[in-house]
Order: sequence, then structure tokens, then C-alpha cells
Amino acid sequence: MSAPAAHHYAPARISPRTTLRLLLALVMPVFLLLVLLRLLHPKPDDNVFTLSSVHIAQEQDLALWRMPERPQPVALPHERRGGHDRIVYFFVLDLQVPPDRLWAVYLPHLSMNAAVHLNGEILGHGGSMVPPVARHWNRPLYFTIPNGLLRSGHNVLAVESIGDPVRSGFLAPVYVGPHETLMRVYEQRFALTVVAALAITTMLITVAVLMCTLWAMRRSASVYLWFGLGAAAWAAHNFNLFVVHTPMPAVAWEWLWNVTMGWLVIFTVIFVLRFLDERLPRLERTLFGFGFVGSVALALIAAWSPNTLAWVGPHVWDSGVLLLGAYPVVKVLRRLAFSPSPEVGWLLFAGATMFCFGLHDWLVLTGRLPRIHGLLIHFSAPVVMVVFGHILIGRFVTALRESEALNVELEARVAAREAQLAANHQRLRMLERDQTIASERERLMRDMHDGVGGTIIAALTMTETPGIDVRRIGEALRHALDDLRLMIDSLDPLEGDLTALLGMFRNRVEPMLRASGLTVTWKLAVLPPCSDLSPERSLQLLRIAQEAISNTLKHARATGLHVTLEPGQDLKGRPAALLTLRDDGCGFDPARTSTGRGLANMWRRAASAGLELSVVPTMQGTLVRVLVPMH
Amino acid sequence: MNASDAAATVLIVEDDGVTRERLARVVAGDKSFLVLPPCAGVRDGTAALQEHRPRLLLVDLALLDGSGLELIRATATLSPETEALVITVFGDERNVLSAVEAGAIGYLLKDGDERTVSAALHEVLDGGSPISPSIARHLLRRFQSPAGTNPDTAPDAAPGGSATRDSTGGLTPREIEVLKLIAKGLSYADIATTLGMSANTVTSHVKHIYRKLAVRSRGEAVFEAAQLGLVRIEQLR
Repeated sequence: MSAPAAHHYAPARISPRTTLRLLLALVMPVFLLLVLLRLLHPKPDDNVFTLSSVHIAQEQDLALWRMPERPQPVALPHERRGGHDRIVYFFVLDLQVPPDRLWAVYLPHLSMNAAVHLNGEILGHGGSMVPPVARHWNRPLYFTIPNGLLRSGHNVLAVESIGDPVRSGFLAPVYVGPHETLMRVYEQRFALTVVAALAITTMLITVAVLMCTLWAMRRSASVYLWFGLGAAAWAAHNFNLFVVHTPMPAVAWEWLWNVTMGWLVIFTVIFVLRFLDERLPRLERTLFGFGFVGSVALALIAAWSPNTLAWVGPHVWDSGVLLLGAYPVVKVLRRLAFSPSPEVGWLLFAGATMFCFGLHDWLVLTGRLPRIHGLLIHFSAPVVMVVFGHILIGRFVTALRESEALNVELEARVAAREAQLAANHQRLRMLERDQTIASERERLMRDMHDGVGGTIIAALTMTETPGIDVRRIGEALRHALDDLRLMIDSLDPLEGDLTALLGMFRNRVEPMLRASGLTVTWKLAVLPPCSDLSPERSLQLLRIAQEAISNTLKHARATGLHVTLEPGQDLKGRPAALLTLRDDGCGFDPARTSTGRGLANMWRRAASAGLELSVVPTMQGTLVRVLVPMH
Repeated sequence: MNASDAAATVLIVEDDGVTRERLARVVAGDKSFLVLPPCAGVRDGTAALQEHRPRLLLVDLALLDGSGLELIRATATLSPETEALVITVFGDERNVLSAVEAGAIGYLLKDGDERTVSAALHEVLDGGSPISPSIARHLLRRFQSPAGTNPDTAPDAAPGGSATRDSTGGLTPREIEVLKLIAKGLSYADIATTLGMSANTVTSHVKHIYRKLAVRSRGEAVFEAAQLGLVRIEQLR
């Protein structure tokens, strides 16, 4: 066991059914081969002359209307190994009466080219008879006989045949008979040799282009590249089957034909290895080395001696290539033994067909099978293509199903994730709301404790003090009520509108101010929205203003009060709103207890709300300035 | 003060005895007003309304046998010439606006002294309406939101966010200007100077706005009732 992953596998128990399929995959190719050979060599009717025992002559100046003087008898098929360039086959046709219908001469198989003469008249030929010789080795020739040329008694048919430097001459039995009969067999053979080769080659070129394009779009799938390259090499190899006039010397053409077969097998081996997911880089490198060295060596041989190429090509190069071609078949067989799958089974069928046809051709080329068989490996191409197409479509459908299943799963996962996110968001919002409520509650508690609560307790204490002036209690309660109103105003959603906040305050205090007889002037500038005007800061600002006004009313003995709101700057030069309350009273003495406590309250409030406060007793009255940050 | 020759009759409906007596005393301090025997609930208030048809109705919202809003609504049929004012502790927009929607013309602070109460009542007699910046701001929002939705209950409706649909909400541009200036805290006198009109015109604008809010809320109620099949439109004609 030299399989790289052998320790993973034990040979699978193979069921009789699988054994049958396995045998079928190996026997089917032989059957196909036999069917093909039968189709390629149709038997003509009885009313046709089969000319298989003939005389040949090689002299240069022969009279083609009569038998030569020293003819040499041979039997057809006749292969001329050993460089006989030109030869003439003579047939004698004895007729009692001349035919009353159109007759024809049909040469199903020859090499390389021939010209046909009847009774000294030329019937036709297959093109150039001098190098480069027109190539008809895989192409039947057919000539009709003009009326009156066949006569009763002796008729001499001379077939002038020519080989080429690499491929020796060959002639299979020749048929002479009625045109309508012969034409049918000729057409069948022409279709199978020429038309089929053309069709197969066209298919191979198409597959090569498709596969290489597929690989170009999906570089990771290298199997397609090697398959495409193999198809390309095979297509190039097949041109030899139907090209009559080569664009290069015959030797070069023959070299190309040999080399493309080698590369076809090399690419196939790499393809099979990659298809079976076996990466053997050293083996692949060796294969490439073999391909390059072989190609160069064959080129040198061709340049040195075309005759040597004719021998080395089939006997050395093709033998090596054949051995190499056996390797993937063995590989596939072994894989099938360890892990049978329909895919690999089909691959075995294709590989066995290709190898079987290749072995046949090698036997023909090396003279172990009659040459009349012809070369057949290209007929295995449709089998390979159909099998691979089948596998490819199967894989495509599987991939499609997998991606559909994945999509469904992905959608489900996205939906689940969305639901989770929504739940998280909801929880976060609840938390935020709870926190807002908690902090607002805390603030309200603090504000009540700081303002209303304290004042009411003071009023309560006063009621328990004997002889207290009831008006003082009323004053305290009114103070509590005013503070409650300030709290309500501070809760109004102002969106940072400081002017509106003070407008509300003005509306609150105006009746009281008017009642006190004080002349109050308000100048409230419209300021841009203040981003940081929290309810807490609003309330403290209003309380400071309230305190300042109540100080003015209680202690300043003032007649006028100016309240202004205008843009200003804080100590650091940043934008701020400046609230100024200036009375024209007597100012105050900071040492006095009652004002002192009121002032301390104002300072504390300013500090807690981030406001800058200054209270200045001037000669013309008291100046209270509050800076509200606007940044 | 341009009080009419005859003293204006005032009906006070308040369930708290002390407050009731105090208010009656405060109003009676101004000789231009004639205080009718005060009532404590919706039922005797309704009877008094029907009997005396007072010029002014001062009504608390939370009464022993019902809501003061019922009484305010009843003035439209029982005594159309009566102007209703809601008595409130804080003058907060929630109470005031629901009263205005019911047909009240303004509000009166419960702890107001003689001067402020008398000033507010005279303002009403002169065709004005007491209003605070806070209420003005809420009115602006109410009128700038589409009919049928209350921005205070629909938190998604940003202030002015639906201005393209119903930007005036039945208010004239002048009325909106007045509301905006009141919302800024300007006094009537300042507004009058700014807009080039008399102070009386400013307060009558406010009164119109109040009326529109009442009509609007009545319209919404009818519309909703019609939708529910409670009222047929022909019945209202």
C-alpha cells in the first residue's frame, strides 16, 4: 500500500453489484472498440470486385496501361516498411460485358496519397504526389469511372502510391464496382474517419476554452485548468486526422503529433491526481521534466533523421506515454477499492476507455495489430467528455443546493441576531429610563429638601413660637410656594432657551414686584440655545435671581431694579450668558447676619450648578451678576 | 380702569371653604365686582349659573361632586355670556389648557392678592386673557402638531416636526407671532411695541387663540364621536 492516506482506509467490502459495475467499466471499452472497428470496415456487396492480390512494380518509367515485364505478386493489405517512396500496384480486371451503369474505384485505406489509372487513362488522385505529399492516411479515396473506359476482357487498373519520409506507404484492398453500391460504404467510412474527427476536435477545443475560462474565474479549482489543457493538447493531436495539406514539413508535423499525445497524457495524469485530491508536487515536476526532455529529444531526432523518428516515435516515446497512461487508471482503481463512489466509478470508465483505445493504437503503430485497423484513440474523447460533463454538472448541482441551504440557515441566524439586538436595545432603553427616573427623583428630593421642605419646617417652628407675628409665617409659606413654582418652571422642556426661562420667571415675579411699588425694567436679549441648560441649573439660576430680588425688596430700600440678560464671556473667555440684577438701593453690609446667610446660600447654589456669581455692593446700589456657561 | 358702569357679577365655585371665603373677600375688595353667593360643587354651581348668569365664573377643577371642567362646558349652553376662569395653584399648563379646551378664558392663581386678582379680572372684562410663557409655548406646540394628536401624549412628535402638514393649525401668522413673544417672556406692553399694536389687541389675540383651541378640541371630539358612530353629523346642524 503506497497510497498516502492508506492507514485511514481499509479496502471497502465490495458488493456483487459493485463488482458487476466495475467489470462493466473495464469491459465496456473493449466492446466499444470492437463495435467501432466493425463500423469502420463495412463489407461491400457481392457485385463488387475486391482487389487484394496484385502485382507491384517500382521502376520509374512504367507504362501504366499494361502489366510490367517483371511484376512481383503481393497481397493486400500491403505495408511498405523500409522507405519505398513510390510504388505502382497493378490489378487486372476481366469483364465479360462492359457495365451499363456508372462504376467507381474505392480506396478505403491508404498512405499517404495515390493516383488511379485505368487502361492508361488517369481517373484521379488525392493531390500532391511530391513532398509535401497530400495526407490521406485517415481519409478514403473514391473515383468514378467515365463511361466506356471499362471494356470487355482485360482491363488494367494501376494505383500509383506514395508514402512520406516518416510514415511508410500502405494500401488496403481496393474495391471496384457499381457507383451506387460503393458510394454508400465510402460515405460511411468518410463520416467515421474525417467527419467524426472534425466533430470531436471541435468539441475538444470548445471544452478546452470553457474549462480554462472557468479556471481563470476560479483559480483555486485547478482541476479545470489541467482538464482544459489536456483537451487542448488532444485537439492539437487530432489535427493530423483530417489535415490534408500541412502548414509545415511532414517531419515537423509528425513531431508535433507525437509530442501532443505525450502532453495529453501528462495533463491527464495531473488532472486525475488533483481530481482525487492527491497533491504530489514531485511527481508533477517529474512529469513536466519528462514532457520537456521528451519533446526536445524527439525534435532533435526529427531533425537528424526522419526515419529514426518513425521508429522511435511509436516504439520508445509512445511506449513510455502508454505506461504513463496506465498510472491514473491504476490510481482510480485503487481509490475505488478504498472508497467507492459513483463519481470515481465513472472516472474509471472514462480512463479505461481512453487507455484501451490508446493501447490499441500503440499495438497498431508498433506493428502488433494489423495496420488496417487505423488509429482510434480520438473516439474515446466523447466518452471522457460526457463522463466529465456528468461529474461537473453533479458537482454544480450539489454546490447550488448547499448554497441554498446555507442561505436559509444564514437568514435564520440573521433573524435570531436581529431579535437579540432588539431585546438588548429594549433592555438598554429600560435601564436608561430607570436611571433617568432615579436621577430625576433624586434631584427633586434634593430640591425639595433644599427649598420647600426647609421653609415649611421654619414656618411650622414659627407657629410653635409664642407671640410670633403671623405675617412672618405667611411670608415663609409664600416663600415655599414661590420656590415650588420655580421648581415647576425648571421642569418645563425649554430646549436650552434661557430667554424663555427668564421670561417665565418675569411672569412669576412681576405681579409681586408691581405690588411692591418698585420700578423694574427687563432687558432680555434673545440668545442662541444653550446646550447645557439642565433643569437643575435652571432651578438654581432662578433661585439666585429670586434671592437677589427678595434681598432688594427687603433690605435695599431701592426704587428701581434693572434685570438684563445679554451675551458675555466667562473668566476663560468662553461664551456665556450674563444675567445682571442691579438696584439703585443702599447696597449692603456683608457683615450683617441676615444678608450674610442669604449671600452664602446664593454662593452655594451657584457653585453646585456651575454658575459664576458675583455680588458687588456699589455706591449706586447692589450689582448681582450670574454667568451661565453657553459651551 | 375702564370697568363698565354696572358692577360685574362673579360666581366662585371652590370646594375648600377657607380658599373660597378668601377669594370671595379678595374679589369683593374691588367695587367693580359683585360677588354672588359662592358654591362648593358642580351641582349647586350649575344651578347658580343657570339662575344668576354671572359675568365671570371662577372655578376650581377638583370639586367634591365632579370636575370643574363640566361646569366650564356647561356655560356655553346655560349662560353663553359668562367668561370662565380656572382657579389653580401653580398655573401649570396641564390644568390650564384642559380648562381652556373646555371653554375657559384664562386662569387665576389661588394665592393671588387683591391687586393681582383684580388686575386679572379686569383684563378679562377688557377682552383679554391671562396667559403665561409656559402656556404659550404649549399652545404653540399644540397648534403646530396635526389635529387629533396631542404632542404631550405623543412623545415621537418633535416640536414643529410636522410643520409641513399643519403649520398654522388654524392660527393666523399674527397670532403665532404673539404666542412666540409671550413664550419668550415679554410683557404685553413690550409685545405691543414690538408688533406695533395696542396692549389690548395683544390680549384679545390671546383670547382668540383660546377660543380656537376650545373649538378645535370640540371639533376633534365630534370627529371622534362621528367616527365611533355616536353622533350623526346632521344632528349637529
